[in-house]
Amino acid sequence: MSLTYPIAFVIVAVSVVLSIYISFYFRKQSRTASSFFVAGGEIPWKINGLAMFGDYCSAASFLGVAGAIAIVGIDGWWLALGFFATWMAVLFLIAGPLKNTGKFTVGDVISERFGKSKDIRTIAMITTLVLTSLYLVPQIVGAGHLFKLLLGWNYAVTVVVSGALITFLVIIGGMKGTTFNQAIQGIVLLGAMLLLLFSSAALFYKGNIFNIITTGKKVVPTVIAAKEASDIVENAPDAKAAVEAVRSAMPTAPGALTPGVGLRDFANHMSLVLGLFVGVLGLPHILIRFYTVKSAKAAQKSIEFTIWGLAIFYTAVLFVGLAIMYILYPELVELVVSGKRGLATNMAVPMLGQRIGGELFLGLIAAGALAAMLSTCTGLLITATTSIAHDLYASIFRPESSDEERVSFAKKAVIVLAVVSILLAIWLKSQNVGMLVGMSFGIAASTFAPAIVLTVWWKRLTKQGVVIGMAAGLLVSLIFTFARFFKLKAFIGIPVLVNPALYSVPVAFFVFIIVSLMTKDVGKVEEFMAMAHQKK
Amino acid sequence: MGFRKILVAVDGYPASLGAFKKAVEIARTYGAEVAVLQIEEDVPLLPAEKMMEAHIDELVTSRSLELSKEYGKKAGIDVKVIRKFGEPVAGIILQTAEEEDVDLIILGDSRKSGLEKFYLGSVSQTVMGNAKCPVMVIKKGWMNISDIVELAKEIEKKPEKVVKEEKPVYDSEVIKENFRFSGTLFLILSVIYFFAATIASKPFKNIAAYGILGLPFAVWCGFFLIVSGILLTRIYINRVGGSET
Repeated sequence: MSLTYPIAFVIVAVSVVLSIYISFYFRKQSRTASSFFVAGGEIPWKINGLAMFGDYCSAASFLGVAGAIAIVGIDGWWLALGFFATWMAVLFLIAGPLKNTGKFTVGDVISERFGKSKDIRTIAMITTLVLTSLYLVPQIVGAGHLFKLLLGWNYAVTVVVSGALITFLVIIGGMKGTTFNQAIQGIVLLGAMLLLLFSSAALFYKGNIFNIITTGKKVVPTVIAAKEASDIVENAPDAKAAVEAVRSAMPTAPGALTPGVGLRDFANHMSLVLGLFVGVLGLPHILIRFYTVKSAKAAQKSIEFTIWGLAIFYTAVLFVGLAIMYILYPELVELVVSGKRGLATNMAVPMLGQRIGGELFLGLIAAGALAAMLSTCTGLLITATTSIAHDLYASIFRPESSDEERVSFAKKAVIVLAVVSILLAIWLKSQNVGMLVGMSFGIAASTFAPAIVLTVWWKRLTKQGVVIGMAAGLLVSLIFTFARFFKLKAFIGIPVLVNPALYSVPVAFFVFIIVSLMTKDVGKVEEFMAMAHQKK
Repeated sequence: MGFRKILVAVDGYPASLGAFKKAVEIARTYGAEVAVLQIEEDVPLLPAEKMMEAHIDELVTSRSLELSKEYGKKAGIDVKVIRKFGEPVAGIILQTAEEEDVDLIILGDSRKSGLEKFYLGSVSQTVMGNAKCPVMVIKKGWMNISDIVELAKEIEKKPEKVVKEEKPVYDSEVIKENFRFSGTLFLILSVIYFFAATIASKPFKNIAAYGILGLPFAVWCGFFLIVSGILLTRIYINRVGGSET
């Protein structure tokens, strides 16, 4: 398959430049407009709501979920539900106390209670770096596949180029106006998904979205067709005929909406589910976004805006995934048969765009996908930069350094992070980006998540509990993450699962609690708790 | 002829302090009053973004209003201080100029260049283009502000005279109440989530596939999770925002 789409590539490039330009324009307007075009403070909460959404929906949501549904059917949707529900766990458990303390990074909140401890800062910084680089990997894998599709280059080359490009954009322009940029990218990625939904409904389902469901029930999922009926698909003249031929050959096979095709066994599934649910509580770049607007009213509105955005997006993803399976049936089956499942699952969404509206749509959808990656990358990198400048350079290396030196050191460190992520991305190319993101959720769930939840809710937590607990969680989750990457079946007799969470989360909580009960340094607990839990 | 009232906008950076010094000079010459305006922007920026934006220049003081009051006192000038929140900055300066009925606006220009200018724009140019009264722009480095910088250092040493916010009191009842509320919402969410999750694992695939109104049970669970997520968020928002603003 030689796929080179110069027009689509130009659309993608223009959209990136345009979104940076618009975000600069808005920032400038917020200073230099001579009249009050921002009526009653409406702009900040909309911007913040959209930025939250853009930050949260990464390549995993945009490419991974719909792609997984297109291959295995309804079971692929689970990941989307996990992403959706877990955002609320953050809202209910820690958003309020964090707002009250006025601290937004994990390191800051913990230091507020336990004082400026070198141990806490060091472990927090290491965890931030590990999380950032592992979370960057799926974004770069997604970008690599995307540019390979657009330019027809070799995967390793595109990963290096697109990873370097993302880093460059982030360092040069992206960190300026991050908020505005993420907001615009939020619009682009939601718009691109809805565009796919409505245009495929109009062209292939007689304009009725619900036909996607009724048709989906008849389609034999791609993985099954690839395994048992690939010759039938090959001989069919088009997608519709292929779907019907496979169905009549296998009348009792499950449909795309029948659960069970891509289901994991109980342990694997629960590990993923747990990792997702607890993980976001520990993702630094998500936490920071909650209270960038000042007034309570604006904060509420942006939260509500975000939750509706997420609800619409993750529902639309289900329909789009089912539509892809039906519309691109022969292509997907062929890709899976020829062992290119990674390409099929990660690139199904842009492929649908191309089928619907040729290079123009391919370009628009690719722009949406890139928006998802860029907004997440900028969010991650700006958080990592703060942590490096603040926790590593200013607190440990050179306390006497100037702000300027700290920022320039942090920018260099970002480049190192990006290089590590690019190398990992080359290695992990055949993984579904959704599952890769799940991995970093699992690590966050075993480190920052217990640290922050226990800091704001548990009075008996001690400093030693935090340091040793985070170290234990990090160690166990990293061992099982890399055991998975190295395709080990078991590690010292324990089966390796799709996600480390099932082992590492309980271990982490256990160590946090036991060490805390054995030690005494609970920090300035009364002062801290009084601040974190004020009367509403 | 002369000037009655002068408006200066300050942000704690050298250029704006130069503008303030010029305002004091003019006020002494003409016996005018000086109004000093400080604007705190309300754009939803991340702390790190603010840090990077602030890198354009060396901040002299974070207590500009206190500094100008003190400097005015020494120079024997009446200084009225005004603090405003919001955006756009230029719009607020223009509006304040009308409210205060000033006949001269003095601004500092930090001479940002290239990307910075493209990104942040120039407030002084916008004010010049739209003001009804004369506008004077003082470029960075034109005024010798060493005396202001000295004074700023002295002021920074003094403890800040902000109205001491009441320190929140430790009250275990409040913590318990918050825990009940947050815990309940989280518990409901967890039950729905883990129920839906369990249904969607291999051992339960027959229950998951059970058809209700033409759709498998697992799909209904998913929709239910999304709808209840929106509802739970509403409940949370209502309580948190209930008494504020």
